[in-house]
This record gives sequence, structure tokens and C-alpha cells, in this order.
Amino acid sequence: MTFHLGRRAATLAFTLFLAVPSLAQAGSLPAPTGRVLLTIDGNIAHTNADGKAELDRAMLENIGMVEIETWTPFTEGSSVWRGVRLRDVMELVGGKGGSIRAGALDLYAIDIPMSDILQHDPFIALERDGRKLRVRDKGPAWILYPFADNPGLSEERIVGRCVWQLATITFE
Amino acid sequence: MPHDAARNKSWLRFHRIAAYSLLICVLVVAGAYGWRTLGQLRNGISDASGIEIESSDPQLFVLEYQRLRTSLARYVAGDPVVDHDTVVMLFDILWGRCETMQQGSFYGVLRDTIEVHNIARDILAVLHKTEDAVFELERDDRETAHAILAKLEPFDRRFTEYLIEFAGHRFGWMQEYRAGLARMVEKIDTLGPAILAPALALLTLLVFEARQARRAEAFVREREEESRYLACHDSLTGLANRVYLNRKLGEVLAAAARSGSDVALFALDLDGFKRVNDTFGHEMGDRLLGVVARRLSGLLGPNGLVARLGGDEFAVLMPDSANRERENVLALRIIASLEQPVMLDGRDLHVSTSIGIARFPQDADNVAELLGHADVALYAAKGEGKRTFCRFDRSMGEKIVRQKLVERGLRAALAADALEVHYQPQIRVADNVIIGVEALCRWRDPELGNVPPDEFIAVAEETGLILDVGRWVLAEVASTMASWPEALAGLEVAVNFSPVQFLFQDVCADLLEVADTHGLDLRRITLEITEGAMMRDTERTMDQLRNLREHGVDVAIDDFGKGYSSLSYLRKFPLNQLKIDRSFVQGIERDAEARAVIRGILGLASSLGLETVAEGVEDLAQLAFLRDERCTVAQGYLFSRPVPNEQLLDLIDCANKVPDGAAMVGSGI
Repeated sequence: MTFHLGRRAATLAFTLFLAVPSLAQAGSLPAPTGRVLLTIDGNIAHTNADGKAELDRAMLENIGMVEIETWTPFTEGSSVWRGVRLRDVMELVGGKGGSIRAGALDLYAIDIPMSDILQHDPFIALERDGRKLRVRDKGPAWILYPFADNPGLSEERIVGRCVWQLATITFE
Repeated sequence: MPHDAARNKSWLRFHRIAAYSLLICVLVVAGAYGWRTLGQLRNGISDASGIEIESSDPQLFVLEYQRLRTSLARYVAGDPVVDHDTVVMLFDILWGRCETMQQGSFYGVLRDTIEVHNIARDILAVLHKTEDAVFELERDDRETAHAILAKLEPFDRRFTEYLIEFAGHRFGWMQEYRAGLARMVEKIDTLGPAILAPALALLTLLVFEARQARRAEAFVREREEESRYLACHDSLTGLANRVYLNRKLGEVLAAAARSGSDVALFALDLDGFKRVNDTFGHEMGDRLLGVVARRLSGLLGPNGLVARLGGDEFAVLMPDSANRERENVLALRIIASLEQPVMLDGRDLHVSTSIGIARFPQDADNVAELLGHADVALYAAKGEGKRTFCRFDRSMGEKIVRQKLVERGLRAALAADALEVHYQPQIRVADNVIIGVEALCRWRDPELGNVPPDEFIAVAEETGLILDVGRWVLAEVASTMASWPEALAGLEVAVNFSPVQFLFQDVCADLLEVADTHGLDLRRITLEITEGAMMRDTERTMDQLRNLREHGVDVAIDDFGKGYSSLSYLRKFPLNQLKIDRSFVQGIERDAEARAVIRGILGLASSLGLETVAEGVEDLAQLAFLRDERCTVAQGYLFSRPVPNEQLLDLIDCANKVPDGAAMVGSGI
């Protein structure tokens, strides 16, 4: 009998945990200490502000930096890019949805379908050939696709999704 | 002509191949052309999307230039919304944009509007000069801010002018693009017919070919049907032939076996057809067959089938024939119908038919057997005196098989010279002296053993082999007689002739030839014929007999009194001798009637001046009676059975050495 009750209590607690994830997870992300580079909102599980996740450079670098060598339609020659995978960022904030809306400092914005993220593995570049990207270099964050792995990506539709001076992401 | 046709054909084939090749080439070219046009169209569309994307860049450029100016002005004016970071960010954004616009690889409209490069270069120069000032700009440093703004000011005009130019270029480019698309659409329009025309031509050619092929196929099928008809039909009468009958019988028997019904098969042949053919020629014979075919077809209902098996042989197939009486009626009608004379070229031709009937499943259980048994029945019908029909029964089969064996053996014997002639002495009753012999053909077959003469002679007569047998016997007798010693030189020899020989041979001519070959004195020959020989074709037979008599040949009637003895023949024919049938002789002791007949015959012979020979004399009592009744000659086992030539010599030697014996050679007298 005691055992039975105990199990019920555990089940109830688990149900509550699932039912109010935002409540349970609110503030689960640490607050940014440096200047905010990327603000993520919309359908996300983990936040550190009012329904938003504000990420500074250190937080982004903590996700796990990857190094990708590729050419781009915007730069000359091939470069070594360092940054974080969009997929990893999505995991960090528990983002869900059919697509994301990526916005830039210059107010440019475009939708990127979730299928792109899963299929082509785009990344947010933070450094090019060992140098941090500045705003004037289309930084500090720039969504890029691994063009070298798949030349078919250089079509206009994909190129339009390479948002430079990335500032916001909204899960929709 | 066939050569021309062949050349025509190869000419056609060459043209066909050429036409196909040409059309396929045209199609390939049109396809390639279409592919290229579609490629151009795709590139054109891709260019258009290039305009869409790039064409927003100058506007964004202008916008970012304006945002920097506004933020600078608002920053130093003390607007709290705009902090220094914002100003720096917008400064950097414009910087990045300038670099992009200056060095970016352009295509589409931007390629043609160089001014934007210059603007970007010049603005970038300004940004380089003012960079430190902007980065350190304090909120109240209006002077520095205005100085920077003043440096940026001139670009308003240049941007405006550029945007106007850009819009113009963009319009022109759009025009060109639209024209290009229109050209391509036109090309696609021409592409339609270019592909459609050869495709249609190809299709037409294919349809034409298909029709040709179908027509050729129809032609071939017609030919096949024709040849199938020819293969199944007799060309002379148009009736089904043996091949067709066999096939049809197979089907009919299978169907009858399933449904449990009966099938009747009539085998027919024409009696007297050979005579028509021989007398009036084949052409007449063929026409006669045509008439027969028509009569047969006319008599038979729609279910029956008439076939001509070859020569004068016909068959009538009645599937599902339940009623034997109806078959009988049909058989009688056929016989009656074919007996009607056929009028051809003003001549009345007479033939008749015999019919053999076999039924399935009673008489046979397969096609071959049914055909064979109908034939057996036909054979039997002919044996029964023709113009009649006979149904098959099992016993017939055995008889026919025996006849066939005899026939085959006889042919072999003739070919191998394996027949023999035996001689039975004839004794003059008055003094018991041997005055002659009767030559009798004997045959011992290695498989059948001794075949009685009655049997093989009958078979020989039916098959026509009798002519060969008769000739062989005559030659054998002649050469034997030539080999006889002086002592037998006076011996007369009686030789049997078949009525068939008189019908088909010139017996007299044959005899003369043989006599010539062997140095034979024809006066020593007695020719024995049966009464039947005189009944058939009497004129022809009588002519020959008369002729023989003139050459000294004696003529005897064999088996006298047994058959239809007509006294008028005795007067009419040039005869020398009557041979009294053995059945009377053997009845002498116990049969008063036999004795009376013998007395009658002897009296008749005596008054007509004919010699008499009694056959089958077996004991002394018979001999005594014959002697008392003044019969001239006797022959029988009492004296000797028929013996081979070598034994004959011994026999006669013996008779000569014992003068008081039963017999003596006539030549001694």
C-alpha cells in the first residue's frame, strides 16, 4: 500500500514537471555577463529573461565551437570559419517549430525552415581565419552553410538565408 | 517479273530506312534545339531572380546611410533611445555595406551601374577619416557630429541620381529580359511544330507500315487458308481428302467418346472404274469421279462428310449415327445412285459401288482401326458379289489378315521363283495307260507352310497376281516339258487358266510366245478353264479360245457340273473335253444321283464328241463304274497324287517297266 502511494506521488510530480516546463525551467539559462550578441525568442524551453534567451559571446562559445572550412558566395577564396552549429543553439534553448526567423542588425530578416537546419547543418560563424568578425565584416555573428560540402547550396534561396550581422532568432 | 518485284521491294526498303533515319535525325535535332532553348529560358529566369535579390541592395545601402546620419543627429541632440553603441553599430553596418558594394561580384542590373561602386568607395573613404571621431563621440560634441554629417551630406544627391539611373537601367534591363523571354517563347512556339511535324510524320509512317503489315498478314493468312484448303481437299472433286478425313475422324471420335454417341464410316470403291479409265482415258475417268462426288454429296445430309481417299476410293463419315437402319438406307441409296449411268460426251458410262461399313465404338476404338475395318467390310462386300454393302464383323478381320498374309507371301514367292509345279497323271480308262498329266501349281511358304491352291489362287485372282502366277506356271511347264526325255514326248499336259487371265491377257499370244521360246508343240497342251470363265465377257473369251483351238490347243472345262452349267456354252464354245467334278466321282458308290449326273454328262459328251476326264478317282470301284460308263480318262489318288517333275519321271519309268501294272505311258502305244 505504502509502495503504491509512493509511486502515485512520483507520477504526479513527474506530470507537473512536464506540464509547466517553462515554470520549471525559467531562468535555467545563466544570465549573460558580457554584451548580448544574440537574442532568441518564440517557442523555446530555456530562457534567461522574459521569454527570451539572451546570449553573449562566452555563452555561445560554451555551446561548443566548430571549425568549418568553406568558400562562400560573399567572400573570396576559402576560409576557416569558427562558430557554433545552429542545431546546437536550438538544443541549448530547447527551441521548437517549423522554421526560425533570423533577424540582422541592419533589420534584414528571413525565415529558415527547420528542414534546412536538420539537413544542411548551417552554423553561426563568429570568427574567420582566426579573427573575430566585426560588424563591418558582417559580424559579429553570421549564419553560413557549409557550401564546400554541397555546391548545390549556392542557389539564391539558400544564399538569401545567410543572414549577416545576425542579432535575433525567433522560433515559430 | 519476280526480279522486278524483288528490286521494287528492296527499293521500298531502302526508302523506308531513309525515311525513318531522316525523321529520327529531325527529331533529334529538334529535341536538341528544344533542350537548348529550355536551357536558355532557365538561365533567363535565373537572371530575373538575380535582379530581384540584388536590386534591393542599393536601397538598403541608401537606407543604412540614412540610418547612420539620423542616429548621429539624434545622438548629439540628446535622444535617449540612441546611445553611442547604436551609433557605432550603424557606422560599422554602413562600413560593411560599403565594402560589400565596392568589391562584391555583381551580375544583372548592378553590373551595368558602376556609380554605386564609386559611391561605396567614396563613402568608405569618409568613414575611414571619421572612424576615430565617431568611436569617441560624446553626446554634447555637436560640432564634431555636424562636421561628420557635413562630410556625408553630398552623397544625398549622388544617391538620388544613382537611384534614378538604376531605375532606368532596371527598366531597360527588364525590357530586354522580357524581350528575351518573348524570343524564347517564340522559339518554343517554333519548337512545337519542329518536334510535332517529324513526330507526326513518324507516326503516319508507322501507321502506314502497320497497315501494310496487316495487309501483308491478311494476304499470308489468305494464302495459308488456301493451302490449308488444298491440303485438306481433293483438287479433282473438291471433296475432303484422306488427311482431312483422318483429322476429322480424330475429332469426331473424341467427341463421340465423350458424349457416348456412335459414328459410322462407309468405305466405298467403284466397280468398273478401271475399265472406264482404260477404255475412255483418264480425263473421262476424272470427270466420272466428279459426277460420283456430286452424287455422294447430294445424298448426304449436312452432318455427314464425303471424302475421296484416292483413286476410286471414297469414304462417308456419319458422326452421331444412332440408327443402323438409316445407315442401311443410305448405303442402298448410294449403291442405287451410283448405278445410274453417267452421261459424258454422249456416252453412257456404267459403274457400281460396294460399301463396307464400320462403326465406332462397336467395331473399332480408334481412327486407324475404324478406317481399316471399314476397308475389311468393303473387301467382304466385294467378295459377296459387289453392288452391295457389308457391315464389319470380327471374323472378317481374321480372314482379311490371312488373305493379306497370303498375298504378301505369294508376291515374295513369285519374286523368289519359289512356286512349284506338280504333275498328276491322267490315265486312259480303257487300258490304264498314262496319256497325260495335269500341271498343278503348288506353293510352300516358309512361314505359312503349305498353302492350299484353292486359297492362294483365290487371293491371286482378287489381287491380279493370277496373271503373274499363270505366266510363271506356263513358262515352268514349257521348260519342264522341253527337258523331258524322248519317252515322255507324247505326254499331254493340262494347264489351268483363270478366267481373269482371259479378261486381262491375250492367253493365246502368251502361249504362242512360250511355245516359241521352248520349242513346245501346242498340240500337247490342254487348257483347263472353269465355267465361270465362259460367263464373263464371253465374246472376248470365246475369241481367244477359238484362236487357241486353231493352234491345236485342246480346251477342257474344269469342274464340270459344279457351278452354273449352261448347256448353251457347250455348244457355243470350241471345247474338246469335260472334266467331271470330283464331288460326283466320289459319290459314285453311295449316291444314285451322282451316278445319274455322271451318266448324263458322259452321254452329253459322247453325243457332242467331247472327251471326258473324271477327277478325284480314289478306288477301283469308281474306276470300274467309269469304265462301264465309257468315261475316257481318269485322274486321282488311285493312280498317283500330284508329284514333282523328278518323281513323275520315276513314276512313268516304273509304269513302263511293269507292263501289267496299273498304268502305262500312252506314248508307248
